[in-house]
Amino acid sequence: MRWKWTPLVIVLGIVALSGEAQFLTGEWTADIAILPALDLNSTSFVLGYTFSSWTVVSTSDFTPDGWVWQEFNLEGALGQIEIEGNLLFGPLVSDFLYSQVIWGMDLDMAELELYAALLGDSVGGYVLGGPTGGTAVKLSASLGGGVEAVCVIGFGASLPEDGFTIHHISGLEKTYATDPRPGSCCFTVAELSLFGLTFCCSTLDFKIVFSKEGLDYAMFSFANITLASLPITFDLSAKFGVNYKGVSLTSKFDFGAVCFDIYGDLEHTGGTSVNGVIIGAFGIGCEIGPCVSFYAGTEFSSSFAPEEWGLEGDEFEYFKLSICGPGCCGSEYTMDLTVYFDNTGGIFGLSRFTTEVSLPVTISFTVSFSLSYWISTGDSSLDIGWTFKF
Amino acid sequence: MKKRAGCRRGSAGALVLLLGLSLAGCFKPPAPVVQATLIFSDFVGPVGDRGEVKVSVASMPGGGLAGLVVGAWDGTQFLGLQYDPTQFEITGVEGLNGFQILATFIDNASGEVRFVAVNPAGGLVEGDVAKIVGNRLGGVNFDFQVAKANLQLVDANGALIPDTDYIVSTGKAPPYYVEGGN
Repeated sequence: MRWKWTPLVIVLGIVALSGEAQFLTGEWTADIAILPALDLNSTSFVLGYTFSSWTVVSTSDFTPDGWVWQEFNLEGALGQIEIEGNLLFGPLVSDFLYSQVIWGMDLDMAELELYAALLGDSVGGYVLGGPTGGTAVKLSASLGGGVEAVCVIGFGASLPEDGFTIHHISGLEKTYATDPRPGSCCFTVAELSLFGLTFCCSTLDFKIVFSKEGLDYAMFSFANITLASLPITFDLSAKFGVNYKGVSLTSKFDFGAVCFDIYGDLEHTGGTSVNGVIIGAFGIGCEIGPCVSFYAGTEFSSSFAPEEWGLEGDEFEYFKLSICGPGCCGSEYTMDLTVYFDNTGGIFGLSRFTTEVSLPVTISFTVSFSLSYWISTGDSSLDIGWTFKF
Repeated sequence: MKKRAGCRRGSAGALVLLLGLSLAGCFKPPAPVVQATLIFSDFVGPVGDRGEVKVSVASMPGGGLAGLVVGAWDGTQFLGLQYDPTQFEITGVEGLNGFQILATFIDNASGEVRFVAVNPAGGLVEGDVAKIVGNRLGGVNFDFQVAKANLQLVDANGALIPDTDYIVSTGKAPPYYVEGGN
């Protein structure tokens, strides 16, 4: 229970320091549940300190589980070498979780970066676990005509396209550039990529990957292949391994500047034959006036609706009105009113409505409210949050 | 210009030196898996949501693993992989890499799962055999447990792999975790 006093101590520290030192910057965000029960959802403290060409930032995150993350970030330059460092601790297990250092240098025709990272043994989820670390060298160069070449050589580490994410069971996560697995001082992977090549009527990205055992795979990715005047485009990628080949075809509907979107897919029966087109969801969005927007969407088949619609359970349709206007100190207030529909027999088919408001109170203080009401069960939730910057 | 080029060379040298220092023993690489191992990974997933435990093998002999029984008869009882039922609720077991799940027994009251996985196409030396999926009920860390006597491993030749020829590694349910990869 001792951790519950920590946010208060940090806030008092921030207030005390901010009065004395102008080189400190900070931000305090909080999200508190009022209904159905009073509880802390999450709170975060960010404290930055700038000296010379260096910036040190401390970020502390809390949830009802306790003090989840303590992160320190360092950014600056030593001559022509730019340096970024990250250090992550898990106070819940009182242990080091992750560290990363990136050294970068701008050469005349290219950019050279070195990545080094360590993963602590309190982070689980990978085979056999244990502390592990590695380094990677990245050389990027622009070849002209929009073509970029990137070469990565890993010594126990790699640089995943989507980054390397450490999760906490509360749902919070931190993402960094370097994946220090499998961990080693020796060569583990080499990648050469070419982006933005022009090939026939599409753009082509090429990637070839070698591991310690030799060639791992080569991949060709074609983007935005169009078919005559049809409002459909395809992304095609072909991956060639040592003893396999994989082809992936992704289709997208593109109606240009019109205000509706269709979410669908091609209907396959296996192999390369296409039997038809599945229309899975339909959405519309338009500006009614300055700072007034209307959105609506209907899902015909599950799993087609985009996440931003916010559908839950058996809900298949939503209508949303977004309003904004001038608030305090040159900022804008925003308000979203949304109703959802399902087939459980609520009045007019309504299942839930939500209201989200963000209101700037002063130049450095913004309050937010989030209210949800489930019609079928009568349950409601109310969250209040704020952001305080200095 | 000469001074600038010299400065750049110096910076590049410093960069290479930093890399050298990084490679020269700052890191403690994990020991490579050289012994045949059956691995039950850590349970990964957020509280109140779906999560999974991967069952995988490394350095399997005899052309690789082609059959796996978790919860075999040990002379006195059938007992599979055990877990804390207050923290984890299993909903199913799915085969991976060509493995098919022939039978499953799940007891979320006592916290036990048994299953039989086979790959009719051949053996797997390295890789994932199956994943045990379910819901994370709480945030308390716990150990998965399974006795070697309750496991049966069959290689690609149809021969039983003696329990002296492999080791078993079982995971936990850590509060911090990563997904995917090795």
